[in-house]
Amino acid sequence: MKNAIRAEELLAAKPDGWMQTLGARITEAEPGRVVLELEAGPQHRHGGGVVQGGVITQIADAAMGMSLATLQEDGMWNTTIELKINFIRPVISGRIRAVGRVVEIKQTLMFGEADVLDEHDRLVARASSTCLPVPEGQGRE
Amino acid sequence: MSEVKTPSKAWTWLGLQTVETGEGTATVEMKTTEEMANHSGFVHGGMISTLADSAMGRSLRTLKPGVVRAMSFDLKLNFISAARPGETLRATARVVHAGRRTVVTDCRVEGRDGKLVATASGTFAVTREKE
Repeated sequence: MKNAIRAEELLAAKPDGWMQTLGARITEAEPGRVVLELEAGPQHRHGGGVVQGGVITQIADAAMGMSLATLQEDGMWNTTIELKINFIRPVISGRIRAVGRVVEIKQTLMFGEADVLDEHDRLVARASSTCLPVPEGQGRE
Repeated sequence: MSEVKTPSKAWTWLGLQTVETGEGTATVEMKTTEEMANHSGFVHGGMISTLADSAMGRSLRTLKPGVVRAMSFDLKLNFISAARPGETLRATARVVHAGRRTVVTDCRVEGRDGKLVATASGTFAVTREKE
């Protein structure tokens, strides 16, 4: 099921919460594919001088979850129950993009993948996740 | 030198066959049998893991400069649909990243009519030929 309206809503939404904290934004969204970007700076680096893996994992996870959400009906969202990532190349600065896509949606589980690329389109990390459909807004106070 | 000449004992035992190779890619097939069934009567996940691992290992043998030695040190699978004994499973593997010491690969395992049975990723520690 394609939820084109949800894809449009994602593109139009103002970053808040964790996205604001990290400086991440949604730059592309269509049913089955969502792209998140952030401008890597000193605030994203660990003591070794490169962007910390959790930052990369965060945008990859979100890109996968949001791509899956663009194929879910209104009122439903998803939560990650499992995630794996390979870090392939370190990044120090510049734009990082997480390109999320849907592998398959089954009755009770959904599978996503994401490539994280640097500003020269070199592969920085590769992630895959399994997500569980949940009612939208679950866990909100 | 790096191309595989004869299949290993495990490959022979499981009936694994390379059906196609390209630059950083390999397709390996396995005809599943009743001996590969689990308690539910489906193909055991370990068999599918072996196929995926083997296909990914095969794909990196096509790299240049060649891979002299390779060992999996990380293997992950998502089992997406069940496969029935008797089905031929086709694993299509490709190299995602080829480094000097490590190679990252991924793989799709398909059953009858292209049904997605599993996706996999594997990381290998390698020794490569000098350029």
